[in-house]
Amino acid sequence: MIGRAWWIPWLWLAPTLALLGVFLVYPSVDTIRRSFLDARSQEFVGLDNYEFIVDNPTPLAADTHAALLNNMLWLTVFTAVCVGLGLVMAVMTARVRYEAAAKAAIFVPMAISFVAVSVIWRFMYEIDADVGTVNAIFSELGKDPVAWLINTDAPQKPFVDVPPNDAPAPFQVNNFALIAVGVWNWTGFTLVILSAGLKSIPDDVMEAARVDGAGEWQIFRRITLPMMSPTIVVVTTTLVIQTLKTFDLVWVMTGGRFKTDVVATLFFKEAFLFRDFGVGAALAVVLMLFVVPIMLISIRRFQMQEEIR
Amino acid sequence: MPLGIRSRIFPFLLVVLVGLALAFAACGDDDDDDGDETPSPTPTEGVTGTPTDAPDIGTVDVIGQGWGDAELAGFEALVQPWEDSTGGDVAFTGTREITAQLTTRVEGNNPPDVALPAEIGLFQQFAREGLLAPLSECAGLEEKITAEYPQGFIDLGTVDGTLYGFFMKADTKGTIFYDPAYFDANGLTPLTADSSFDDLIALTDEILALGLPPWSMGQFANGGTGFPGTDFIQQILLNEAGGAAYDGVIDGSVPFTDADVKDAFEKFGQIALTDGYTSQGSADVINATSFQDAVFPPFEDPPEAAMTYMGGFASGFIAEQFPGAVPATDYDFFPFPGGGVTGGANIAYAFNSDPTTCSFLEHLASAEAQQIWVDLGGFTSVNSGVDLSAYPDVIARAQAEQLTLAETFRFDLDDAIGGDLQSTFFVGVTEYLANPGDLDSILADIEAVR
Amino acid sequence: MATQRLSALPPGRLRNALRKTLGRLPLHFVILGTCLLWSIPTVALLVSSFRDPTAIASSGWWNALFDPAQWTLTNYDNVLSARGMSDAFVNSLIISIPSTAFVILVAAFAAYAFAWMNFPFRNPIFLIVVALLVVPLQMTLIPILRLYSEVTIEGSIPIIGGNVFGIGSYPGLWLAHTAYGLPFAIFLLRNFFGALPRDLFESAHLDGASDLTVFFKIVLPLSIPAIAALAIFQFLWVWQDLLVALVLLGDPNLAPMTLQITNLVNSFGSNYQVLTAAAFLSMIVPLLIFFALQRYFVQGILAGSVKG
Repeated sequence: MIGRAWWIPWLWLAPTLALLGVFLVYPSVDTIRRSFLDARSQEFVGLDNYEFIVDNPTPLAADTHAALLNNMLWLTVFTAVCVGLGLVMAVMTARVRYEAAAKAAIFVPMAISFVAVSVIWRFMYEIDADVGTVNAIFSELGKDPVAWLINTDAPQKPFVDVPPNDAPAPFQVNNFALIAVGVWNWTGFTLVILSAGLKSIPDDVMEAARVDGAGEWQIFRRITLPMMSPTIVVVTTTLVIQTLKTFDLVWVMTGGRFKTDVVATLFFKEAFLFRDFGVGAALAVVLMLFVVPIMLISIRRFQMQEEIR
Repeated sequence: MPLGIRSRIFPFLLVVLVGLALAFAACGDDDDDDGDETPSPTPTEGVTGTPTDAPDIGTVDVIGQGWGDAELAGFEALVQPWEDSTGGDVAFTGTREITAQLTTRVEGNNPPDVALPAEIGLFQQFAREGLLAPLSECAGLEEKITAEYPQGFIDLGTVDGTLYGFFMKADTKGTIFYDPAYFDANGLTPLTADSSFDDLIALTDEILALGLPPWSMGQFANGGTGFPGTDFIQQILLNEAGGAAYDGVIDGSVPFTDADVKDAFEKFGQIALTDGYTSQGSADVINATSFQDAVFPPFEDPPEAAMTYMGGFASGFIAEQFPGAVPATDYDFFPFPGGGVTGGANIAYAFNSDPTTCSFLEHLASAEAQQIWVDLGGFTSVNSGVDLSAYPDVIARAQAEQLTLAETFRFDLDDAIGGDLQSTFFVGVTEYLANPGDLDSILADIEAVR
Repeated sequence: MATQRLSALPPGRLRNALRKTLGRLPLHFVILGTCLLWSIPTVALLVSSFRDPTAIASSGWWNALFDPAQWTLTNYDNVLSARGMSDAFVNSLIISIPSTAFVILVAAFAAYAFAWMNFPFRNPIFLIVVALLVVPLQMTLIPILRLYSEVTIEGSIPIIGGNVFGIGSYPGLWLAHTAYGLPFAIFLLRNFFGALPRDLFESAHLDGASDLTVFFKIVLPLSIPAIAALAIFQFLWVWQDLLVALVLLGDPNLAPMTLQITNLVNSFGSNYQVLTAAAFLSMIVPLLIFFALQRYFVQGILAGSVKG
C-alpha cells in the first residue's frame, strides 16, 4: 500500500457518511427511541410495545404472530427461489446467442410498477374462470377454481399439495401465491447482478478448463460457483434484507388481509393508519433486529474473503 | 476505450428520451394547467359577493383522496372561479393512502392547508389535539355552514363543541341496484323506503323461484376488503335497531357484542350465505370477488343475478361498463328497506386560518361552487342551497334526494370510528362469512380492539 | 462460442458438431420454456392494455388474441392525454437521472475506500452501511420531513423548477434518493472492486499513480458491468418511486409519472384498466436503459489484464 495521509480515506467516505447519517442513521435512532414511547410518542412506556408484539392481543386488527411467521416464509422460500433461479438462468443464458433477449424477458417484470403488477396478477388469480388465467387453466384441466388470494378452509389442491384446514400458518395458499408474484418480479434482479458477476470471471480461466476437457457441470461446480460466490453473497444478502422490507407487493394485492400480513405492512398499518407510533416503531426495530443474524453470517464470509485477498 | 463507448451511448439515449417527451407533449395534455398564475396584489370580489380586502391570496395546499380523471375535472371546475377571482392557486395532491399521507405530514411538521378525506376518525383526533383551525376563525364561515348545511352534518363536523369541518361530495349507501327491465318482465315490484327487511327476503325468495340468483355480492377490495359487508350491516343496524343504537356503536356505549349488532350480522349472513341466494355461490367466492365486478351481474345480458347492494357510486361503474345503458330504464336503485340512510362524504377541514385558506374554504363550502361540480356529475352536495334540478340525470337526482331528505341519516359507521377499529370491523365481516358459526367470538374480538 | 468452433472444424467433424448442437437442445428448451412462462403475465398485461375497458372485467385476456376486433387504443389515449402526464414524464426524468448519477459517484468513491484503503474501523463501518439496507423507508420519512421543513429554501430553480432546497425541491429529493440507494450501491461496488487483482494496484502504485488515477483509469473501467447493473436498478427504483416523491415534494406540479398514474384510477377504484396501458408507457424508459446498458455486460473485461 502506498503511504497516504490519514485523512484521505475519510475524505472519500465523507459524502457517504454524511448522507447515510442524516437519512438513515438519524431516523433509525429516532425510531428506536419511539419504540419505547407511547402511541403519540409522548410518554415513556418501557417494553410495552414489544410486549404487544409478543402477546398479540388483537389478532383481528393486527396479527403480529402471523406477520412474523409470514416473514420467515418469505425469507426462506422467496430468497431461495429467486437466487437459485437467477443463478441457473444467468449461467444458462450466458451460453446462448440470444442471451440479451432471454435476460430481458425475465427482467421486464422488474420494470413494471408494482401497482400494474398487482393489476395483472389480480387477473391471473381472479376467481372467475372466465377471467382469471390460472383458474381458466385449472378449469381446462377439469379442476375447481381456487381462490388464490383469500385464506380459505376449503380443500384446495394447488401446485403444491397443501392440506386444507390443517395447513398451519404461514403455509397458506395465498402466501405462496404472493411469493410467486414476488419471485416473478424479482428474479430479474438476481439474474442481472449474477450475470454481471459471471462476466467478471476471466475468460482465460474458463477456456483453460474447457481445453483441459472439463465438463460443463464440473466447470460450474469447481470454477463458476466459487468465483461467483462473493456476488452470490451480495445478491442473497440484498434480497434477504429486501424481503424483510417487502411492503408494496403485499400491500397493493391484499393489504395484508387474509393473514398475508408481513412485518412491513403491519408496521405501516400501526404507524400510519392507526397512528400508533409506539407499536409501529417497535415493529420496525424488530425488523431491523432480524438483520443481525444475517449480518453475522456475512461478517464471517467477509472475513474469510479478506484473508484471501 | 470505455470512455468512447460512453460518449456514444449518451447522445443516443438523449435523442430517444427527447423523442419520448415530444410524443407525450404531442398526444397532448389538453388541460394540464393548474392555474399557475402569480397571485395578483389586488384581488377583486370573491365568489361570495362580498368585496374582499387587499391580503395576498397565494397557494392553498390541499390533500385529497385519489380522485381520478373525471373527479379531478370536477374539482378543478369547482375551484376555477375562485382562482380566477382571487388570483390564488390550488395545489391539489390526491392519494389513495390519504390517512397515511396526512399522518406523515402532520408528524413531519408539514401539514397541508386543507384536507379532504372521507373518514372522520382522523379528523376528530386532529381536532382534539389542537391541530386544526376552528371554522369560526374564518370570518363568516361558521355562520354560513350553520345556515346552509343540515344539522346532522354540522354535528358531525363538530368536535367537543367547536365546528372544525364541513362536508361535500356525499354518497348514499342506502341503494340497492337492479335492472328495471327484468323486474317489469317478471312482475316484480322494487321495494320502497317503507318496506321491511322481511319484504326484502320475500322479494329474494320470489326471484329465487324464478330461477335467477337474487343477489350478487363481492367483498374484495385490497386493503379495504369487507367494506361492502360493513355497509350492508350498518344499513340493517340503522333500520332494524334505530339511530340511537347506531350512534351507540360509534361512541362505544353499544358494544359490538350487543344483540342488535349480532342480529344485523346475522341478517346480512342470511342474504350472503343462504344456499342459492347469491350468484357467487359460496363465502369464499364472495370474499374473493372484487366489489366492482360484483356490481355487473344484474346488468349482463342475460342477467346473472337480480340485485346488488352497493353505494351510490356504483351507478358510475354501471354506466362505464355498459355504455349506452339508460339511467332508470336499464339500471336503477330502490332504497334500502326501512328508510334509514347511511352515507359517506368528504369532510373539508383546515390546519390554519390564513387568509388564503379561509378564502378557499368559503368558496368550497358555497352552493354556487358545489353546483358547478354537481352539473358535471359524480358529485352530490349536502348544501341546502344546491337545487335538486341541477343534477344531470334521474339517478343522480334520486340519490341526492335520498341523502338530503332522509328522515334518518347517519354517517358511514366504519368511517366514523376509523383507525384500527374500522380495520377490525372489515376483517370481522370476511371472517364471519368464512366462519359464520364463530360470530360471537368474532364480535368479541372486534370489541376488544376498541 | 459454438458457432466459432463450428467454423473452425474441418468438414469431417460435422457429425460431432451436430451432436453437440442437439446436446444443447435441453438447454434451449429450458431457457425458452422459462422465458415463455415468465412472459405470460407480461403478455397478458400487454394484451389487456389494447382491450376495451369494459372487456377486461368480463372475459379473459386471451380472448382478445383470437378476436382482432376487440383491439383499441383507448387506454393509451387516456393515459397520454391525461392531465399533466407529459409534465410528469419530464419530472420523472428530472428526478431519476441525477439520483442515479449521484449514487454511482458517491458509492464508487466509498466502495474504493472500503476495498483498497486502510483505515481504522473499516470493516465495522462497512457492515453498518450494509445493515442500513434494512431501514424501512416510511419510518425515515417523518424525521426527514421534519428536517426539511426547517431547512427549506424557497424560490425557483431555473428550468427544472421547484424550491432551492428542502420540501418541494428537486435537490432535496435527489439527496434523499441518493442516500436511500447508497447501502446497496456500496455493497455491490465494494464487492466488485474488491475482486480486482491486487497486482493491478501494486504495479500501478509502483509506477507512481495516485489514488485518483488508479480509481479513474483502472478501477472504474474494469467495473463497468457492475456499474451498469447498478445504474439499471437505481434508475428503475427511483423511476418507480411514489412514496418519497409524494411526501417530500408536496407540490403536484413537480410530481413524477407514478403519481399521475395513480390518479388515473378514480377513488372508487374503477377505470383500473387504464393502469395496464400506463404500466407499459411507464416501462419504456427503464427498459431502454436496460437495453442500452446491456452492451456493458461483456464477458472477459478482465481477460489479459493480469500479466503472466
